[in-house]
Amino acid sequence: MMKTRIPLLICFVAGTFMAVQYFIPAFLPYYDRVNDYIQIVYAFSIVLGLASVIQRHTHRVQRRGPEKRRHKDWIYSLCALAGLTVMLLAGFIEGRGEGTLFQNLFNAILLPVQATMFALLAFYLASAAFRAFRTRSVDATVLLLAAVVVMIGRLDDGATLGIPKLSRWILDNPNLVAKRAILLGVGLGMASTALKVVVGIERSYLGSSKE
Amino acid sequence: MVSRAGKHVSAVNHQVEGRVEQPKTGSPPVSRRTTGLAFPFLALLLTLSASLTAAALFRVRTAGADVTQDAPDQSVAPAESAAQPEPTPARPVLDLVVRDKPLDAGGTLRITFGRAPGDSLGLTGVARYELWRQAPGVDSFAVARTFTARQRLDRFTYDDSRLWTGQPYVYRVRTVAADGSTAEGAASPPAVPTRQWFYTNKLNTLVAVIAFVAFILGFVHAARRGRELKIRRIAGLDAIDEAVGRCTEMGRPTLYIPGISTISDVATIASLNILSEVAKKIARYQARILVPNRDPIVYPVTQDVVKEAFVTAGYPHNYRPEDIYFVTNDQFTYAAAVCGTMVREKPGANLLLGMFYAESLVLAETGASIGAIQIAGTDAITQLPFFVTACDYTIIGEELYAASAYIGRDPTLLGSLKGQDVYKMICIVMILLGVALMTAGVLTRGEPFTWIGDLLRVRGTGG
Repeated sequence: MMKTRIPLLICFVAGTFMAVQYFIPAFLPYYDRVNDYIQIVYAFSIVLGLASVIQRHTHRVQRRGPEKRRHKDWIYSLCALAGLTVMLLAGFIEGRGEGTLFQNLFNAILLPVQATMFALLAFYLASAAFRAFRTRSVDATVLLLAAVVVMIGRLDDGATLGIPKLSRWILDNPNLVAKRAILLGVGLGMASTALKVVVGIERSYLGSSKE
Repeated sequence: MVSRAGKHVSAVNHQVEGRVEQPKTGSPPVSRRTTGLAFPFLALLLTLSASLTAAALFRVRTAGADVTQDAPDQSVAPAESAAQPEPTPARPVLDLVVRDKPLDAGGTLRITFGRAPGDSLGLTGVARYELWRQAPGVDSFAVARTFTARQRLDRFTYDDSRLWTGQPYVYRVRTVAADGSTAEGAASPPAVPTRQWFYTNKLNTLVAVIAFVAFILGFVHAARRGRELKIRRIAGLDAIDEAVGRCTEMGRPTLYIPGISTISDVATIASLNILSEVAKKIARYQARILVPNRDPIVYPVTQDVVKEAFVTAGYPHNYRPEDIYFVTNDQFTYAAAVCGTMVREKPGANLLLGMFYAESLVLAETGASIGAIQIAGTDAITQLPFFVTACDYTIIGEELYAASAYIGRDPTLLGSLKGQDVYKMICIVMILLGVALMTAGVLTRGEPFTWIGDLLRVRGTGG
């Protein structure tokens, strides 16, 4: 019982404070201070995350089980552990300033890899667009036409057939209306979820909805 | 603005020069045979160029006027060169006003004052204004802030912060002329910074929040008393059962991605609520769930949620802590790792529920390529089209927040959903009413209904 009640109490106090401070200027300094606590919690949780990464990949590399076999993807785990170790050592030994090994490794390996992942989006977009624009129904046809107009409108800097204006109209009217309709629901949903969590109606995050 | 105007001016000048000089420098000689045809053409060209030149000249003047208006430095220089400021003696500032800053947590005073008599934007001999502050319990004044006189301001405003709340402060302004002479303004009456206890400009929001809370709690109370509440079907949430069942039949794990946002994001909280219900189902089916995490704070929470769900379902021994793990807090590294997991582990179902950004399509397309059932849900409007395209079912916006109640079928939670729906209807009616009344106000060319706009406007902290 205490295992559920104490978190619920903490949640209620913290949630109520956050709601109340929105209306009370005098609480602003306390609000800022509470926000700083998140940084402290984050710093501790990074240690937990690091432990998780090391534990998971070490288990994969080790020979385990009755047959003393490694995980089938153990080589990737070894790479992950090697990368983690090298970066940690580079950071601790030489620091993270400009021209250090850490910074060079970051610029030479991690940044290009991240950029590559991001660049893959272009191909995924093309594939997704192909599927989305297949005219299988009236709705899909309307979607296709709207998309074509918006795409040409973005390309066309002149006023060919008034397409930029039409494109702007589509974005500013039907598109914006739909967005705002979703946002209205999202806003109320967020407020409702927050309220349910704060007053303890929703406790699924504690693992059980009932005491 | 200045540089753009400047470029515009020079571009127009080039056009003007080109058109004027063209006949002088290099127009080809016109043969007599073509004179008959060429004359009207040339005349037309000349007329056109003359009118264009006139228009361009007019635009140059207009642009010049714009530059004068927008660029203080350029505008001041000619005025200065035309009339050098007389070394007039400094005169004191007469209208120093010190007030408590409204709607704040205390510790701040708002000081405003106009220019000294005779000072025109710092061009008539005044170099600067010095704001002097006398702190409580101190006899002397100290400079709090200096203002250069050459600014395009008629009045200077400054929020003096980090003061003692409830203590009196006195200010005065010293005018310093270019020749070094100074003039002390009168000291202000003592002003006390105070803290306010309510944002009066947020009264409408408070009323709306109270009404919302009342609706939610009212319907929850009704649901607890046994009132039957009907909730519309949500296909994406119904499909979760199907997806988990499929995974069990195929002997494959379910991959649950709780988004890449932090725990402070309500979408992540909603995702954790859904995770609890999904994990219970998976535990009952004695199947396996994989939860890769991006946020180190979300990671222990997901671990605890899944563990508790397995315990609640009565299968604690099936819980595998190594299946709920932290990957990295870098966006695309996380996406790459999860894509790798999809390809290697080949999950039967991918549940992407929470807040997603640019990695959404990478994850969803990779999931589609391995043939998994994909159920995605997010309130990120920009990512919804990607999920709709690449996933089998998409939970849109508010449905994400309703999912936990929908899956768990807890009457109390369903009551809160009903309250939320009713409140949304009220919001829609109010929006329509507001639009109609504001439109009526515009049509009648009066302002009888503008107060409605003020009433509904949500204001920030600054008022």
